[in-house]
Amino acid sequence: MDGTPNAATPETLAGYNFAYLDEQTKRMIRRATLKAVAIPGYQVPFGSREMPLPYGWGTGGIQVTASIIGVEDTLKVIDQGADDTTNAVNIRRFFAKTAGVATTEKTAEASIIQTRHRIPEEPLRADQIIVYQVPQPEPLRFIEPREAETRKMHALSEYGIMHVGLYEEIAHFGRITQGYNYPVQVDDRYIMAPSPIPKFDNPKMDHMPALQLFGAGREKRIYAVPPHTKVKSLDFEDHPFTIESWEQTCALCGSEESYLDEVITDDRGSRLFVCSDSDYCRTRRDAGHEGSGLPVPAEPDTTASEPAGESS
Amino acid sequence: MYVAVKGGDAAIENSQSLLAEERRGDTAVDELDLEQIKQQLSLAVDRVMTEGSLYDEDLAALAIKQARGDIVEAIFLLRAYRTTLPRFGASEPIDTGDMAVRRRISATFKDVPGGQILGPSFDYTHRLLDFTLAANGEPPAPTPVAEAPVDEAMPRVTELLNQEGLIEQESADDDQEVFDLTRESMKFPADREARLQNLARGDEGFLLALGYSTQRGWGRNHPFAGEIRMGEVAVEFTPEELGFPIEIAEITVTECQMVNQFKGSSEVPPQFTRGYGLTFGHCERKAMSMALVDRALRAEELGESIEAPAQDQEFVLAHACNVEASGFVQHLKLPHYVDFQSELVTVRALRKAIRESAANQEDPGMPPAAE
Amino acid sequence: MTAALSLTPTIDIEPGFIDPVRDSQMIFRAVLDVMARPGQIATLPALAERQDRLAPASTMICLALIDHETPLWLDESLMIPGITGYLRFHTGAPLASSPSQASVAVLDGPSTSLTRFKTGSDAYPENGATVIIQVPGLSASGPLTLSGPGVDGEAGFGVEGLPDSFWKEREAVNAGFPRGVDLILCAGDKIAALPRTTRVSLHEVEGDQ
Repeated sequence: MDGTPNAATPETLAGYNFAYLDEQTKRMIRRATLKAVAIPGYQVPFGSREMPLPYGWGTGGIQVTASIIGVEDTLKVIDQGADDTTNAVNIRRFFAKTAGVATTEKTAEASIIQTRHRIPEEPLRADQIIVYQVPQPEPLRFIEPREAETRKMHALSEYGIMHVGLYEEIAHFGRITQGYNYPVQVDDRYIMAPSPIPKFDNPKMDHMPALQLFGAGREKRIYAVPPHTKVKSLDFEDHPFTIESWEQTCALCGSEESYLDEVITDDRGSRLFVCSDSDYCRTRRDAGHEGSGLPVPAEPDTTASEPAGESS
Repeated sequence: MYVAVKGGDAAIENSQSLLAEERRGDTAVDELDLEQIKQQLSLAVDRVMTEGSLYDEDLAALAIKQARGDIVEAIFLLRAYRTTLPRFGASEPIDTGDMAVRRRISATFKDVPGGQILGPSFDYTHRLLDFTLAANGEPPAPTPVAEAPVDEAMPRVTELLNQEGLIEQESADDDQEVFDLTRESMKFPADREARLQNLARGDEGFLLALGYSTQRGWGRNHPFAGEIRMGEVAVEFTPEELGFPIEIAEITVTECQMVNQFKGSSEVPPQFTRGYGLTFGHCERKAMSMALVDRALRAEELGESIEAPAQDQEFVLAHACNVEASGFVQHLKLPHYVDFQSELVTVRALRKAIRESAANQEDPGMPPAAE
Repeated sequence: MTAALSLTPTIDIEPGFIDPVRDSQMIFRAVLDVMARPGQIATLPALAERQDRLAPASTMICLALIDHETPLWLDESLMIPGITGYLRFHTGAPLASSPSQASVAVLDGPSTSLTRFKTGSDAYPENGATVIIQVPGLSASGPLTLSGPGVDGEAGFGVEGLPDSFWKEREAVNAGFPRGVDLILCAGDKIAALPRTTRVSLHEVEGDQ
């Protein structure tokens, strides 16, 4: 009956249900996911289960993916934008083993993309779903550690504390220093943690044609942004939201538009800048784009900590 | 040319192959069998079952073996397996008053009906390493059998206080649906049933430290070990089609009832209050720590001021699970270079701004450099 | 096992999904898709049959998504042994004694006022009910205009069998967002969803006033 591995499903890990979770758990997660979609940006509590991968390593995303995935899906898993990082490989292995689904490294070929810390550079389509792994779903948590309090703030749309927090940063540093997990407001209502993607990716969330699902396993929350929904990064009129930019281009594919990783290439601090999105970079190289291939020498630092005499 | 730290199947498989070798150790030494772990490392098995929230000695022994004796890892293995088990329903509440007692002590009375039963305990051992064990010592001499069997009736000490009205009443609302920590996420403020479920699974070391902190004045609640009992209880289940309970198992549990002082209030005369701890198997340290923390977490309900970490339910309950804690602490091993890159960009920009502002102060005639 | 045998239903119960794991997933994904795109109409695959007055789509959604954790409300016309026996057997969902007890409801037409269902609280709005309404027909164009999350700008939408007053009532029920009720509309094997966030406006037909 219900929950028994069935002959019609592809060959998967013996003794375990399709996609690991039992059917009752999947139904619970599915109902939570539907409510998350119906209340964009609101964190729906759910009975998160212990998965065979550790909490903090993507269990929320894995549970969401396990509940939505079907035999006809093609799954892509990325960590830091890349398909070949160990954790991405491991999660892909988990689904290949427990669900027997097709996997891909190509963004365009995937129907479900599970991600940690990036949104692919290639725009996502309406027939795709992106599942974010979320370590801390509560955007207000680092200002107010108590759930009882933050829940009230969300309920009443009382977000003054967040604006004060951001403004204090401006007062102290002259800018908002939050570089990743930069808070957003969804459909002018809920303030939401976009997960630790760099703020470079925040604009991609706004009016995205694909459905965006967020799973936080350890914190037991699921939330969502439906397609074509307004997602605004918090800012102030006199300090508008900006994204990271680089003077360098990708050393491999020459892209001037992608998010770059910095790789140290020698003991003098020379650095190579390369695309964090490995599929995007490969696709560009396959199409004939080429970067310099050269590392950049370390910039001499002349800030306060240097001896006074050497200051330029 | 550029080679990032890339994993791939091969690296993961090799790592796991090395792990398997390390687990086995020297193959000239006999392989541990699960029966040995069950019989001779039984307190490890009990802890893994308690915090793994699954009563199965064989699986717990397997988890301990597979985890190379890393108890927190073994607890994680058992919990992950537990996820895949179907739910048949909820058992009837166990009746620890009806326990086949093997150990029962009270610190509040010199003697109690049913008597003090020391049972198997480290308590009065001298902690001297026993080198006969290292030499594969002979089996221990059999313990002499008591002249009289233990009393059938072993009333709980707290019930004795109850008769005089000296301790708060506790009654369960049988009609109310019981919170289920597995199927629901914690809501704050959490009711006592939810708190107790959370503490029962909670990490022994964490609860031990918190319980200890209450004794040192961080949320002091004047505890006495009213009673600690360990032994076997029946687990009963009522199948829907039968309509009456049938016994489905017998399990070992340890229960601790702390008796704590309470000054009373305008509504309630002074009386003793309770803290409660319960574990699978024989986990006495855990049961006592749990009881101390349970009582500390009742501060709000009893009108006490909340000043110490052990009294703060969000602090305690959100951090008690070692499967959650271990996963999240160790997730810092995962790559974070995208986020770190974002921080690099920010720190460089901040430093550049400081540099430029310093340069402008030195040479006020120069216009500010373009960003 | 004589005790168990005595519980064997006295009426014949039609089969549910043939492959519950796969079929539930397919139906859920279709529901997820329409919930994420209000007004978009999906045709469900024929994985289970109509049960008396319970349309194929509502039958399949119940099979896929409800269980003993979701008290179910059926309107009077659906409270017949053929339907209750089927759903109880295949899903285990308890029947709610009133609409306000239900987390999921199935209505055959606008039989029950939406005001009678749970809308959740500001702190826990997900406790608002999911109400499945069977209607004679759905169309991607019609007198209704939809906007809100999941709708790219505005979209036309038509539902047969729901009076104008229904839309006013829905608006009132969802006025206290985030509290509200989420709707799934079923017409035969077709479904569409209107989560609480969707703004529905009625075209004023010319010369109507």
